[in-house]
Amino acid sequence: MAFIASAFLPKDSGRLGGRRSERAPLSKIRVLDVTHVFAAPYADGLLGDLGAEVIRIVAPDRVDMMAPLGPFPDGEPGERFWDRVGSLNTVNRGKYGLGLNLKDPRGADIFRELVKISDVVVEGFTREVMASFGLDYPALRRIKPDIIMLSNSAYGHSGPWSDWGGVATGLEATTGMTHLSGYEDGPPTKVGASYTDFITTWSIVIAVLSALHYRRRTGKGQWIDVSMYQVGASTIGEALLDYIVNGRVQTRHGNRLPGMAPCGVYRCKGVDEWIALSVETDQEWKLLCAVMGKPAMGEDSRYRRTADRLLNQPELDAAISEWTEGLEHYQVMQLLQEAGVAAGAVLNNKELHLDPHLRSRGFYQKAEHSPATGIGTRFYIGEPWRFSKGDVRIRKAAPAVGEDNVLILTQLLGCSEDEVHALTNEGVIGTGPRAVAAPPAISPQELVARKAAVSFDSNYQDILGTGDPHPARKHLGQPSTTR
Amino acid sequence: MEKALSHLRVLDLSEQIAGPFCTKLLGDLGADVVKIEAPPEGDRGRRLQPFAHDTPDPHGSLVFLYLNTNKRSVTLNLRTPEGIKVLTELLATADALVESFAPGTLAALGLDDEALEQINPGLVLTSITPFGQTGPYSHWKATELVEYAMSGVMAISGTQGREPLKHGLSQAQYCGGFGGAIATLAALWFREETGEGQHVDVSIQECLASTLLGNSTQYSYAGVVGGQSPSEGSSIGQVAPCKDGYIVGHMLQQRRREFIELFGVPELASPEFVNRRGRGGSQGKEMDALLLPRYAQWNKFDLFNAANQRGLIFGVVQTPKDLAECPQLQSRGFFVPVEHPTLGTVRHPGSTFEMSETPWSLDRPAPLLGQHNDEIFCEELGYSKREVARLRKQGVL
Repeated sequence: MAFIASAFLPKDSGRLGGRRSERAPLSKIRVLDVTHVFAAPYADGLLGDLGAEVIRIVAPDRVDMMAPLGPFPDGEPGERFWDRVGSLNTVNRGKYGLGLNLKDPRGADIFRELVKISDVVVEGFTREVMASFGLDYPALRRIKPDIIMLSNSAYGHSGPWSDWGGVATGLEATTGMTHLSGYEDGPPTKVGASYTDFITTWSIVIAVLSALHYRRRTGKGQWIDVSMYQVGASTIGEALLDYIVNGRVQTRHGNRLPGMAPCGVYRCKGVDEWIALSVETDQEWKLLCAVMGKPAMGEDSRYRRTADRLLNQPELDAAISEWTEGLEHYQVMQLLQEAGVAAGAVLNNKELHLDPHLRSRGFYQKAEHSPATGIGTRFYIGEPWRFSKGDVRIRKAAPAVGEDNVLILTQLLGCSEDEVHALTNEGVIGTGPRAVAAPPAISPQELVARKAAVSFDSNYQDILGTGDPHPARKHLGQPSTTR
Repeated sequence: MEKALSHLRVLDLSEQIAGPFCTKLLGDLGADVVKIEAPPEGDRGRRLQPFAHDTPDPHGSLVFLYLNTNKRSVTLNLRTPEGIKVLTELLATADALVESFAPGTLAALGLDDEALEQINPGLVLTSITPFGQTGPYSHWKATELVEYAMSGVMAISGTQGREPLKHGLSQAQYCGGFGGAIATLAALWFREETGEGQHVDVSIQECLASTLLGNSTQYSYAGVVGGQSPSEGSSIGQVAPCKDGYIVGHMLQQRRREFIELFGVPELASPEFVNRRGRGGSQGKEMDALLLPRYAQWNKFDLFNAANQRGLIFGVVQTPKDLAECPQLQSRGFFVPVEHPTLGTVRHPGSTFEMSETPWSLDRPAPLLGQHNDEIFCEELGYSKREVARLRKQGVL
């Protein structure tokens, strides 16, 4: 059945989910999100927090590479596990979900119709893929001359490595970050979680906002080619210059900061509890010694100046550990901050959710998922910026695959429900793969036993305040019904 | 040449790394960034090591050099009423003001939100601080290390049983800079729509905490408290040693055949290795026993190239020297030469993305302190040379 393009719908009347708050900065912007994993999807999720209408387009028969890793609600993947992944649901918040097969010419046509009424396309395929669909920048520009298209890839769309993919830890190493991270006496070490993804996320948001500003001024769109590799290199610029100008290859310094002593992370009383502190001035050193009840040390001429302290760090570290090991980490943090010393407890994921400062700022925000997913209401990472006037927040939960197929095709493209059914039957649109086995469920208890987790709270929903008011109706997720 | 943000003027009161990186991002895309530095020594970032030729010179900090491209510099003493007056004149011409003072500092200078709105109703004020403008910790002291500790990132880093780790260099500050640039540009878009300026509040702690997608939902989805990883299972998805350095191996299900062929490990075809989830436990140890000896036979770049040519998305631990000599970065024109008044020609790291209509360019090196006082105070604001000399004598600039 041929896809029949609809009559042109003026943009304002085509807003999904009704009229947008005008106080949301990007309320008049529509983004097509054709991306995978974390970096680019998160950028589009943040554009959604800023008010854009974001349509997430995925191939209905493919499962995201990150999906099998979870985390899943209570460790249970469920049948449609790809809709129940905490990390993916964080980055895809706020979006509308379209399961669309771009390899099918009718799918590509639907995409073209959406481009006509969109402002930005963000894609993260390897180099030739959008061209193979007939949807590269030159093609999209013919459809909508002022379209802004951003392509995100590991190494960029040109150069000897441009056909190669890249992922998280591997990219972090290639960008030079890993060589510079780790214990002073240890090997290069990955830190945190897929760092290169996030600096790329933010770079994509900056690039899209900049292109929007330029288009507003000139009426011109453009193509943006983002290289995750180059983004990563940009945050170690001073080390690159140290080699270029001084010929020096910097290396790892653990937790030391230049020009500060003492500076490190010290064990506290509880299991795996730590406090980080750093002293920049001689006055701060005296304050630290006073708090520790070691005023003599504060007067000791061996440690009076930074230059001296830098040479005596093992003795200083031993003295500090002796003190911190008798105290809980929050306690040490309070004592030191009250005394004017820069100190911070090493906080874990539970502590962050419950921390009074982050709670008062509302950093974690709730979103309620559609009942079919069985996820319920969960807290998600919000945004690290607060706008005194703009309406910026998570507006809805991440969509299940194809959750909004009917809504998008009927409301934005003027398809009839019959047309939508036909397209579904013919595999042009869909709501998920049919025969993909769920990964095995791993209970929280087992994670702790394997030392892949520290502990778990079975009553975490009460602790967080996201409990199901009707616990007897707990779902594991239902198989999709025809929509 | 017109760049994406050529229509914007950004005043920059920030110092050291986070704020200057934010305004570098804006300046590199064409914004007219004016650093306003306190005399006599200016931005404390000018004293950050390493220095060119290890000579502690106010023009020689390589951190400052890197972070302050595409900016101009004026000096102003904001502790004097005349200094505030001149700043007010500049604010009237600006689209955004970026600062990283302790919360309340601007208000103490008579420049709280209401005052700024009076001076320039469309002005966007971007504040970048360790914990944000509000909340019980907003007046706490922090450095890079403290921010890492309180962000949650440290709790999952480093080896079990040993102290947790931060990233190298100053990543928390860079993350804050990214946050500031996003917030500034979004607030300026809001201004285009409504005519209204506003105050955007960026927290470095929250920027870092924003990176914990899996770790955060481990707790909010399942009540699991995450910590450092066990050390086994380094042959896949972690840093692994090879002959002359380190690589990061990856094995996707759809490329298992290529992986097995490249390393000669038919054992990996067996089902027990297929649905490997998480790390640690016996699977990690067995993989390491199979693969680490094989990696050890390869030089890092040979292995990186051989793997990637077969669609195996390996990474390679590169040093700053490796990046400076990298053929991919060379081909992308990543390093660009810049003429600096005292250091001569210096190859700088360049653009992270390419824009087809508004290419990135490095138009100015990092400025000398107060280099543009005459240009801005005299030519733009209309002060005479004599007035400027008087203000300088009075310690106003």
